[in-house]
Amino acid sequence: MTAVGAAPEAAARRPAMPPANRASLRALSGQAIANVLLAIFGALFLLPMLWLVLASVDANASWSVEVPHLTAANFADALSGSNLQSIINSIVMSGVSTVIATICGALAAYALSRRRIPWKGPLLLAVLFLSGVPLAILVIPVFQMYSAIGWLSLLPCSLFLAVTSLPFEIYLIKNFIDAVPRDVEEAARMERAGTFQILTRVVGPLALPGIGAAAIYGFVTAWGSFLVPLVLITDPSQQPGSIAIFGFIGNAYVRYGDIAAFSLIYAVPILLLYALSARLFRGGFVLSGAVKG
Amino acid sequence: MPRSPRQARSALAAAAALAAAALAACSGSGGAAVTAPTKEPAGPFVLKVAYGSNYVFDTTGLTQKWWQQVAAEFKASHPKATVQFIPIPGSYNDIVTKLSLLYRSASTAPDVAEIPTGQIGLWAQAGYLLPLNAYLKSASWWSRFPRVVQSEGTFSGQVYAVDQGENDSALLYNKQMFAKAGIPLPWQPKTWQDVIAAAERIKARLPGVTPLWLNSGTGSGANGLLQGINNFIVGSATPTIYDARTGKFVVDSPGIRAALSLYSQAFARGLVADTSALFSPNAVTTPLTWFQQGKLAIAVGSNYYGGNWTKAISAPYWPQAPKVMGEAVIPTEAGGGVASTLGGWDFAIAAHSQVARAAFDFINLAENQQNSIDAANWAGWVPPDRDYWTLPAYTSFAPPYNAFFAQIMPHATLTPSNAAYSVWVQGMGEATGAIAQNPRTTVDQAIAILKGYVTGQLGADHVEVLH
Amino acid sequence: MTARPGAPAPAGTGAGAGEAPGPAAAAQAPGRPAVPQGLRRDAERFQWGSLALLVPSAALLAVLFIIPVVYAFYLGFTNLQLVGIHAVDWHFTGAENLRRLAGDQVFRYSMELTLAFIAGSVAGVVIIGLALAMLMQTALAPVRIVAGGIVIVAWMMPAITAGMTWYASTTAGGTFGTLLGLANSDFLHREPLLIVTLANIWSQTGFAMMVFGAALRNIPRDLLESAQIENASRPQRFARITLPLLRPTIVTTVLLITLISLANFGLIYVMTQGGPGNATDILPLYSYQQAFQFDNLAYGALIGNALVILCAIFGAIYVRASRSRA
Repeated sequence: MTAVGAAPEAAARRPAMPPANRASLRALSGQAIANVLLAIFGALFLLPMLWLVLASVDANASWSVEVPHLTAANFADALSGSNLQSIINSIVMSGVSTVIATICGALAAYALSRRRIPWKGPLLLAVLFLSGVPLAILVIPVFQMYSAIGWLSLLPCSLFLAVTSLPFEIYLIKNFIDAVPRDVEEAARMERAGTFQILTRVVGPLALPGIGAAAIYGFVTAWGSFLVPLVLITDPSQQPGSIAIFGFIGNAYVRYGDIAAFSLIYAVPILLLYALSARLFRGGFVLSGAVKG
Repeated sequence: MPRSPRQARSALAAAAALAAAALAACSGSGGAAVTAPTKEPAGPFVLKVAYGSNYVFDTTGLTQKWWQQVAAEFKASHPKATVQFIPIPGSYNDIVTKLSLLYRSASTAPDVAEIPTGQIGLWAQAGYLLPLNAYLKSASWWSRFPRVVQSEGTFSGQVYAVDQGENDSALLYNKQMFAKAGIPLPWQPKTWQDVIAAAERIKARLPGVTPLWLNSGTGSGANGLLQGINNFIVGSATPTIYDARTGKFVVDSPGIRAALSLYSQAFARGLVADTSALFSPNAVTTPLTWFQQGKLAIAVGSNYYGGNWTKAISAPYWPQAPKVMGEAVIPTEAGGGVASTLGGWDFAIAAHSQVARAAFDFINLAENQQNSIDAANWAGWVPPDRDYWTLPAYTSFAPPYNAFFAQIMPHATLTPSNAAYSVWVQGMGEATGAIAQNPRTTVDQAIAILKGYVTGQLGADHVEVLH
Repeated sequence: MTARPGAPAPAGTGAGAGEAPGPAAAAQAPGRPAVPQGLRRDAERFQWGSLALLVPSAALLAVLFIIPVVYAFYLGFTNLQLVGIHAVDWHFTGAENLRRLAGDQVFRYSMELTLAFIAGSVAGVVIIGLALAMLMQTALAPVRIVAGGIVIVAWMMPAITAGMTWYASTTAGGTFGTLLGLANSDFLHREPLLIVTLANIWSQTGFAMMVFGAALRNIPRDLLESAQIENASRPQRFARITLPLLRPTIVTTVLLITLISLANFGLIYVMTQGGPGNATDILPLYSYQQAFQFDNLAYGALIGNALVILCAIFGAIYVRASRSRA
């Protein structure tokens, strides 16, 4: 494995270091290698998507990778009818689920990281392992609960999705809070900051990359979920995009081109989220640098 | 578990008791005296109707159009009714999963549901469905359903579901390729060997063309068998898959061996498509495209092919299809005869429906001439009512295929409808899959796979060997 | 330098808070006066304020997670069917399902497949994810954004799409075969487990990359810089500084990838439905198959139970591994 550390970048940003020439030379070569390797990885990850891209503009799309008979009709189909609404539903479903899971998860993670709570270690792990129960089985009792109280709709479905990613999010965020130095918090506490302030002003920003990663995890999990919304949402106008894809698959036909086009469109919101979070992470980075400085 | 499932369970138990009472009432009074509950709710009421929103019909647009058309007629005759649709997205398994969960709770169970033929028995056993015998007395269309179609929803004398439309099978072949290969037209094989011989001739004369399409493997589940090897098994001397007398599944019989032997020959001689195509999800639809692209000569295929090639469905659109594609009956093992499976979708009413009479009225409208023929055309079915088979509205939708497949239907054979059938399906899928993947697999080895799997899952006392 | 490299070590075990070195947080509910410094040690005791932080998660988990899990666990010992005779009329059957499980050849095979699938997936995801995260730190912005974006898109793709695109890429006429000059090769059905594992690695790496990227940002730069001044080579710096600091994150990721891979069975379902034969029928798929295809909800739930035990064993191994080396 090629381990290219963070050092070259750091060196490049601090030109005042004593062995400046050698370091910057090494940094340069290291950066070149890193760029090439990353480009190769990117290309490898792109390969399987080639079919998706070609099929999305192919009037005769099939399983094979072929030179497409160019058409825009697939994209028109992908956005027709209730398909656009389904993407909006996905955004609501995943957004609500992510907000619930991340806020609850961050609070719990902080307590589990910093407070003395009896049996917290085994408890946390037990909850985590229990998420090994296949969701397909888990959703059945939840369906019965929800149907008894008339909750078979979008928002309660988001709530359940939030709960399914909650153990992961708690665990992940706790890991990042563990890494935040306690003395930073201590300093804030000297200045009589309350728990809430410490969470939002000190620990939160420092653990932001971790919280962001957990939030994106929650979003992506909800974004791709199929069986849970299928079972827990009754009103067809509330179905998310992961289910709308099946509108292109019937008993006697598969509209490969439409599926590909819809999938590409369905990727856009996540990409936007990723771009947004990259900015957020950078903000967190600068801040943490300042605190640690 | 909290109160809810228990509640649901007791509600269902009550429903089941109700169904049992209804059942006892029907059988006890000798049928004729029983009148169907005619009570129509006095005030406004809601009729809940569940259907597959993308899987069953050929397009989602036609699905909506058809159900709304029936609902509009229903509203006209029942002004106080509100029809609440529960469209279920996803594929076969997803529809079954969602429906079975809806039925678990009295409050969510749909009054009318569209369910696959293979599931009726299971639903009836669970006590979810209302026996329709009393209602059917007044339905003129029921007596015009072929006996085999009537029987698909009948268990212990009670009719739990009525057919919406059927799929059956035949051989479809490219006439132009046959002409090039020097095979006389029209082609009608007398035996299974004739099919192999024609495929071999194609292979020799037309390199680059896949001679024969035989669905195999587990990828397409029960659908793959319905449009594949089961056609040969039901056309064999021992057509039994589930022995109703003993309650056991047949894992080895001369008929199963004959069918597997046909597969084994076809694959060993390189006549069939490769595993990439056969094992793909929705592989059963691949011949439609391959025929259109001129890549395939013969397929053991289904009645919906012709409709899919029409402009209305366009999956894919192929206006030349009637000129290019011929059709022939699948012969039986003995030679001649008609071999075909049968399966489709059905209407059922929930056992505890508060508006059962209205629910049946809805079904009654769905079975009328216009709606039944529209459903057949838009979902790729043969309509169950034999009076519609010769009507231009049906035959001219996809000529000549629609008329041809209607003639096959009375001779077609149903597949079992109980929980363990899906185990047999998996076992048989693995057996044909093994042949497809390794053509050197012998019939004995394939039988061992089927037998081993089904025995392992169901236990030795639930399988049998026919001689 | 303020960060202690040893501090994050017990992460993942969670039990270490009590003996954590350094001054502990003396938290209090907002508005209450700060606890005087002298009481800091005492503040390690359980605080009622902690409860307020835990209640939202605990309540949600109790109602929508623990109860269904316990119920699912119980279902494993009944004869409940999805539909059929025992859909309504079902009852506790004791160890009957267990006996069946013990003699179930498909289950045993499925267990082996699961272990191989998990081992391959975890190794692939962690190694590639870490490599990507480290490369991203050095690479130029355009390369970083494009490559990172691609990996993230792969991660976020719904299973149905990811499965279809991998099916198309690895069967005859697919991208891989065409590029390797073996256009008619059916890699998927020739090496099914390998291909579905690769597909899973492809679809999970984005997560690991993101987590490692976030963790790498927490490594104090001055540590690496001082090592560089001491002329430590790049592999040395990686082995001595980066890797030890990342260990808790690696353990966490291994654990989470194990669970996510098991939850991601939809990908395999789309590609092979567990086939050909049973060649990719990993436990979650087999559980699904039993519960929803064969209508044996109870037996499917029992296989789910077995899966939980498997996860717990995995977890115990990971936690032990992380402790013994820290």
